[in-house]
Amino acid sequence: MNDTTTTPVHADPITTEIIRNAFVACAQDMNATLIRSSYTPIIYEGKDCSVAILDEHGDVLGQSLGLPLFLGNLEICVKLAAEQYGWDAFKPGDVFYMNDSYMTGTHLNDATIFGPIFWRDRLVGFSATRAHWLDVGGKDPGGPMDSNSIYQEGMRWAPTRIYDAGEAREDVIDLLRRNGRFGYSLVGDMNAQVAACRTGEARFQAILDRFGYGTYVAARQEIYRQSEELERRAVTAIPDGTYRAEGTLDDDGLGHGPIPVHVRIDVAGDSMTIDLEGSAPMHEGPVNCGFAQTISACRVAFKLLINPERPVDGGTFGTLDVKAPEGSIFAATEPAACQWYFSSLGLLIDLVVTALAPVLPDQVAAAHFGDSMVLFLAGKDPRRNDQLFLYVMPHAGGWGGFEGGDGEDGLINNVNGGFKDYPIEVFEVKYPALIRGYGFRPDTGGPGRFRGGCGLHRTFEVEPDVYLYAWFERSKTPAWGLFGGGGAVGPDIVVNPGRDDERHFLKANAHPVAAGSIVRMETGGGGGFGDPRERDPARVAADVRDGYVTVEAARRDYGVVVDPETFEVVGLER
Amino acid sequence: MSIRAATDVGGTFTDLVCFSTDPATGRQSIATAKAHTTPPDFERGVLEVMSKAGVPLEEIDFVAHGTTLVINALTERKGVRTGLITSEGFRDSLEIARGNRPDYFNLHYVKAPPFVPRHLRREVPGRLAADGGERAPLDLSGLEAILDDFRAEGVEAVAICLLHSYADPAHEQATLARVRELWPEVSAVASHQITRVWREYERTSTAVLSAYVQPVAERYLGALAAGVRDRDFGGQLYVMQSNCGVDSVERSKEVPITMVESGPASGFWGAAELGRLVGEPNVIALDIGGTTAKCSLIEGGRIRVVSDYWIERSRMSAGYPIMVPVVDLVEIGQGGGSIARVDELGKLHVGPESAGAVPGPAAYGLGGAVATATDANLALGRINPRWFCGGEIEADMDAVERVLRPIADALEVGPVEAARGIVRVANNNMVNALKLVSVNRGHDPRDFTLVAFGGGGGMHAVALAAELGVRKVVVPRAAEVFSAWGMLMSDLRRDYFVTRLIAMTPESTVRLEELLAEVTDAALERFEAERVPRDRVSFIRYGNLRYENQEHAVEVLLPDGPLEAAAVLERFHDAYEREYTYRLPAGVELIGVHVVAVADMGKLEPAPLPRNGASLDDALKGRRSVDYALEGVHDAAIYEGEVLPPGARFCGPAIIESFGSTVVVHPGNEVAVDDYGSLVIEVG
Repeated sequence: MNDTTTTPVHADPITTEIIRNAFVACAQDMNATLIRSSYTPIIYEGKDCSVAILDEHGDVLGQSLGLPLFLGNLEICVKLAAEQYGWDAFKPGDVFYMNDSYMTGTHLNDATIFGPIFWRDRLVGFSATRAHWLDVGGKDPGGPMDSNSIYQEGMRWAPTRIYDAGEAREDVIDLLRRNGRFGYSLVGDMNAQVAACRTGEARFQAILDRFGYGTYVAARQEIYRQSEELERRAVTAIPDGTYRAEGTLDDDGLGHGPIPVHVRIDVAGDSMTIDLEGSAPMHEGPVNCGFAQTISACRVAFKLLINPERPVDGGTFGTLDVKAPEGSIFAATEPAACQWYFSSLGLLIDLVVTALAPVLPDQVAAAHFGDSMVLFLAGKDPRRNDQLFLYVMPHAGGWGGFEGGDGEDGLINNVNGGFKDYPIEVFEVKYPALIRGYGFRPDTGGPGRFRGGCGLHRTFEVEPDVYLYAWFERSKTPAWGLFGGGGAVGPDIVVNPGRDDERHFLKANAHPVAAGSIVRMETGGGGGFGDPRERDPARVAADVRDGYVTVEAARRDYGVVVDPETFEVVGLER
Repeated sequence: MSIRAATDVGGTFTDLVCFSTDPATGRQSIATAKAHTTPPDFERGVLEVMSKAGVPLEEIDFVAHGTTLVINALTERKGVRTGLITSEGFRDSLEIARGNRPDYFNLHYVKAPPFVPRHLRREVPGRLAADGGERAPLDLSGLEAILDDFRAEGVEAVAICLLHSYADPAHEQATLARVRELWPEVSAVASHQITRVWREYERTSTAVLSAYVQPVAERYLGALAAGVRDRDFGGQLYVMQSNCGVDSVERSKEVPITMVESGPASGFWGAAELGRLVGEPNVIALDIGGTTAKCSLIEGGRIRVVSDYWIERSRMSAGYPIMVPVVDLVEIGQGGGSIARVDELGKLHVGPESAGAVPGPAAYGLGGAVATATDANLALGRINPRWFCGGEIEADMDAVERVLRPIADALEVGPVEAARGIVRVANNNMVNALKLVSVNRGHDPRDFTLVAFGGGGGMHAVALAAELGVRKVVVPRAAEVFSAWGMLMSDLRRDYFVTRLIAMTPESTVRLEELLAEVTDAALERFEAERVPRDRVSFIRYGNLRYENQEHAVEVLLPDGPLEAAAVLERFHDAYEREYTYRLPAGVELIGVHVVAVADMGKLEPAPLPRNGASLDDALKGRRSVDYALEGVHDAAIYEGEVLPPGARFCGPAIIESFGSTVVVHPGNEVAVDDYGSLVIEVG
């Protein structure tokens, strides 16, 4: 069996399926290694990571994503590295590190680490990993919210060997360590990624030992062919034409905005092009995104609509082409700041879905609340001898209604997925603040035949003086409806509601908040789907009884008069 | 004669296994009986199977009872209408859940809908802080109106979960007492009665699911206890729990949710006991039944009990958490009845859909029109068509051929290749499950023995072991009723998980000892109230520790007797490094303890089989041609399992046919029959 021929030999369908599963399992094993050995909770709890096992051309054999947004991104990084050095520059035991936003597309915190895999002296593939490092230098701990160039965000690395033919390059690793505020955990997380690469290497070699190279190549061809065929069929089924949608980001964090985003989709036969021509040029603030992540975001939108259940491999996305003008916020170049690169991508995904709504009405959904809604609280904890603390957390919101169902209430945004909300009981042990309430905001979901989901509020009472950092987006284009459905209510942050010093904002960098203050953050809802006047009155009454919709809104938006005591429908005003 | 019986209420059948031990000779005999499960009055089926077995109830010393009642009531949504009372400002916790979206590429994701709708989730003012201190006093003035609304809505059970009740249950206790006073008939449970672990969403979900099934379980267990009492049963009646122990009927009625995963638990306990018996403390236990395969890892003779358990969780759904002590296991939809199908891209899948008991595999001849794993095993000669289901049914081989044909056509191969494919895919699925409990948790399968049981365990075990590098497989005698044996080997066992944060310094061991004493004293007090003698009770104590500012924690076995911080820390660093591959020069904090209280209520004494002079040849039924899939077709010796004498040795290829199971021995394997009748297979 242990042939080394490059000519594909026959692989029966069972063997093909077992090999396909073996690569999926290989990626899962890599992910397990990474999660087990990483030092930072943002990786092993926040799941801000991803791994992939690639073939010798850099195409995906198996992947395991922590963040949906990293879909198909590692293969781009490996291909860029190979372009830079040439495919024959890799040696057994090499491991590379890279983080340059203009190559990887993401912010500098995301460390991409990969290595070539050899089997019997032949380059057969790559194992690649990505994980968010807590701090990579830059002007503020963790990453700034008001940077005006990439040089304020950390150090840029093109693909650089951290292992050379199996030998650690201690000088390079030391340089990395010295350029992060938490050098110790940085190296720990780096080692976890290297370990994950080694796991991938060993599993890949074991697969080749077991099945032989020729069988593997034949199976791979078949696997890619199946995916590509399935995808071409789905894209062909979409009527040819040009589809458009537009929206805006609020601002760039430095007061410039709104920032327009234009999406144009051309479907011709079995191919689809997403073109972002007309979108804003790069901005001064950190809202810019490298092109590689723009491609990934388009792939996420595509995957949400086309064969979402099929695992991704080297045959996927062959039908999709992405274009963005160089120097736009979607193809940022030096020296654009990129720390919050993903805000534009959440909007982009909503817009791609909306653009295709006329031709894919059953697959689409109305827009969702739109961004990660990140809030930091920082200060000194009086309960722990004034030790510094830093709370960093994204927050969930409402999703859009769709044919057949209401949008979900309180769900994490589209570029995230595996993220889990921090329990209040754990929060209150760890941070000097009390949470006064956490729940749904009634009437924030867009009305519709299928209602948009509700946003959330979370109300903090801070014990000591704290600094508040916030990056809340999508107030100017809160989730919109589809097919006659209404729009949603957007986000807000209020400090000391009802007091003389009440103040509202959405973005803030080190905003001082006095001890004992109330901080109430509110996330937006999702858009409605279809005419609300066509919603079953009994469902409207049930929503009123459960308090997702108020009596007033039921009458105003749905034309349904609900008795506030009995929750019976007592009249229709349609 | 000493008689111990285990009864098991499954979805279709209620089973009884009786072990009779002759005190003079020590000779043990096993009797089994089967009756139909009788919903909704499940106790009728239990009483019926007892009379069917012909064992007079008054002669039975000990009955262990297992039931899938709780898990079925949950998954079939057959509990009662439930209301929730929670802290002011937090009624949405149950529905927000953790906000995660496991199915990334689903625009239409729907969260697992809460068991209590929003209008039946009500709040009471009052607030505790993380240290258990009171920030706002509990105000129950609105409770009467809430309960009136619940009554009007047809609520039959009330769950109570208040913030930080793991640290101090006072507010929950006061609320529970007031509910009982205002509405004595309603079934009520407060979260602290089930668990003292933090994380409000998970604890609320636990209390809600427990309340939801409580009236159903109370009714059933009450009727069962009355039924056996009426028939002059004077022995001990215990109920199997998810933590591999048994508990009293009274205690099970109070918190029935602890029975949720009791089905697989007894088999895993059996595997640990068998491991002890044969000197194999490191075991991977594998239970393959008709619809699912379950596995669990046993290290150093200890099963691992955890309190994070979910139902209906999958790659597509976040599911529902239940914080009760459950043996750490992985379960997949892969068993004898798993259905094979080829998708539109020509990919072969086996399971998770199952043909169930009716119509079952095509070979049953009951109209099963799709191919299952069992049909494939028959087609390959691995199962004897003329000794099918213990010789009770003649396998319908025409039907087998008929259902394999469309699979073969879709794959463009012959029917034999199709059957091999089904077996290979099924094995591949099970290997992945076995890796999850071993490799993915830092264990090397080569250091473990695979103990396989259930009707299908022996059929696949050797192939799986070979794939994982496991060198030894043990298939116990009467593998199909091994779970019942495990049940009768169980102790009365209670697991207590308590969250409390203590920075680990040389001085803090006092606080840790106090916490441990608090838990063990409360446990002893409860045992005494139930007249369980103190000297029968022993404790196993674990600390749950982590590095400061880290979330990863590990459970560390604490030494008996007085604790020394240095010794505890050393165990922590070692355990942490094994689990997470590194150690840190950082402070360590305890986040809680796990105390296991065990009372030996007298269990089955395993007896060696008598040596009756039978030889290996007496067990040889004949030879037939068997297809080993990847290893091709071989002429295999066929043995009758029940006749195999202890001490016998032989080599594969062979098949061992017993009443309810088949063991497939591959070419090159060496088999030895041990003193207890277990097959010990060395995988070449």
